[in-house]
Amino acid sequence: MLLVVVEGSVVGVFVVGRVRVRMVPGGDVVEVDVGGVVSVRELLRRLGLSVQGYVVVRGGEVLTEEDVVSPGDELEVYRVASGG
Amino acid sequence: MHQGVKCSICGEKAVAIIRYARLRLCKRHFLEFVERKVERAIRRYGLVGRGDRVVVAVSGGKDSSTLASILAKLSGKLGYKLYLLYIDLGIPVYSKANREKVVELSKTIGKPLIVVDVKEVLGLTVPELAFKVRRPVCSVCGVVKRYIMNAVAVELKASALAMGHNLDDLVAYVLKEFFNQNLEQISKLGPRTGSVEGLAVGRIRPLYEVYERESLLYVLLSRTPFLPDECPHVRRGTMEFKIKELLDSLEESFPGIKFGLMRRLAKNLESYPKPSQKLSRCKACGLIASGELCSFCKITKQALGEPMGARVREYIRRKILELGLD
Repeated sequence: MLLVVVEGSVVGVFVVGRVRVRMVPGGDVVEVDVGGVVSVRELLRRLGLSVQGYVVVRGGEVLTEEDVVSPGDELEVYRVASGG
Repeated sequence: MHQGVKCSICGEKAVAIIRYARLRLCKRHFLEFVERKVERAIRRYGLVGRGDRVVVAVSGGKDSSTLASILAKLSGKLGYKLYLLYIDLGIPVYSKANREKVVELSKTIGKPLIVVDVKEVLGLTVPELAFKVRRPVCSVCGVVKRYIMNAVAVELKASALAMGHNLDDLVAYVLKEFFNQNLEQISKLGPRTGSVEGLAVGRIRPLYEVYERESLLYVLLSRTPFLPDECPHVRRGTMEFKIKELLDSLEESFPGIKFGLMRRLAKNLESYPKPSQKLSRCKACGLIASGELCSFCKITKQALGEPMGARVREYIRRKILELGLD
């Protein structure tokens, strides 16, 4: 936990080390403790997902597997394979 | 701080790493890369000619949205007319949401849309029809969609019906049929199938060389309208899904292995046995059948007491007139 203190008062609380991931489709939300800055490849590995099978998007921007994500990031993880 | 990888062509920030082509591409060059692949497949496999009418079946999902968007872009250059077709199957929530998305897609790419509403023409939705004939929804849905797609293409006098199957879909179908040793089915999985004069319009697969991942990236990066939601009837434990998962790890170790298979298959298609089934004309509706009645007329006769193919064709003709597409 990180407390943001301005002139002696606590003005904010952050849970550090975590990224928030929303799975698409389905909408399930998971939080992953990444500790610090990690690559998208590493994030997917920790989620147990393959690099080929998923696409990671942050704020509407598509990330490659070599881009990095940081604690506090909100991400969407799209599954590539669809059926029907 | 890591700045991300750069585009191999222009040095801008890359959004896609295409390992099998040893390329890292920015948004602009990635979109061009996929569009060029589709154009190359159209030329290489002779999918569409100048003056042709092409119907593209759209579902609201990523693949058909990518396909419709690229076919619309290429239509001026390659000289064909493009029509979108959406079949409203009446699946609660899902069909309506996708219908809205497809209307938006049609406006965005500036091509006309024909909507065939199954409930409107049959008085029953696809799940209701499946319940009546006691068959799985997905199997009845397949019959209904295949029939309507062909009927619309026939009524529009189209020369081709474009399907959104991507490279990964096709590799999974090929391997599934190979495991089952249905070699005749593999012969139908090339970039195009032939037309049968007056009975059936040939299908083309312009995304034949486009990976499923590239198709998803294309709609996301080009901001083409699509819905990522899945049909509530989809089953994820099927062989196709498992094959796709397995092949993703194979592709990770051997980039380009799926692409190579489909390229070689296209060259070898002639050596696969052809289906021996005799084709005929459905006695009720006049379209392609393998017996007296086509599958659609059989199912609707069983559920409603009369074969509905002819009525569906009439409904489609009326729609075409109303939209001024004749």
